[in-house]
Amino acid sequence: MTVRVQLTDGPLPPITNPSYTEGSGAWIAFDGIVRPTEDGQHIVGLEYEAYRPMAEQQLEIIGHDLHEKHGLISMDIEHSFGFVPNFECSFRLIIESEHRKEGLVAMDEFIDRLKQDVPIWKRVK
Amino acid sequence: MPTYTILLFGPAAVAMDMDRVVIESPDSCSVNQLKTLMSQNFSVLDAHLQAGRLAVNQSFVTGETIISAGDEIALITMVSGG
Repeated sequence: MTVRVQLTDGPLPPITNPSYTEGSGAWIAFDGIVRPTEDGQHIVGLEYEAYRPMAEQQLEIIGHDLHEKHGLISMDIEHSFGFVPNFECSFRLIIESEHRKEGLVAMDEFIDRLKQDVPIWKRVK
Repeated sequence: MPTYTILLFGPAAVAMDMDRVVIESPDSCSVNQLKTLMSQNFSVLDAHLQAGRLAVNQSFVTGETIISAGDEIALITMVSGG
């Protein structure tokens, strides 16, 4: 059972070499990308502020909850803090599971909980 | 008289133009009592207090939780990660 959490200063680099765990039948990645507009106005990017120790702790709690609930193989969770320009990745979740179904459900549940319980705020730039 | 420092982030920090506020309380108090004191002292935080939660030592707690000296307290307003 593996849950990894990381907060990174600035945009997250693209995935280059995915590695698969033995026994996994699904490897699912979600990238959250900064959109170029907010409420119809053009923006240059988003500034993310995190209450870092609590944000890491909350991401781990949610990760472990869903890992156990859905019997996942692994979760890799990464979120940016600081400035992230348009078209760059600010959040990434990679889930490995034996079958796709539980991985996809866990992905959706994780993002819902992230948007409720993880102390990270964004501000338009 | 106990004093409590409450960390501010995001919209609450912008509203106050500072990253923390200090509240003095006549006695030890609960999370709900501290929220009331904050509202009385900093009305600009009212909306954030109503929509937000207080975290104590980096965990969400109930309103009845008693705050101890030295606890790390933070106002967690509506978050917007992702």
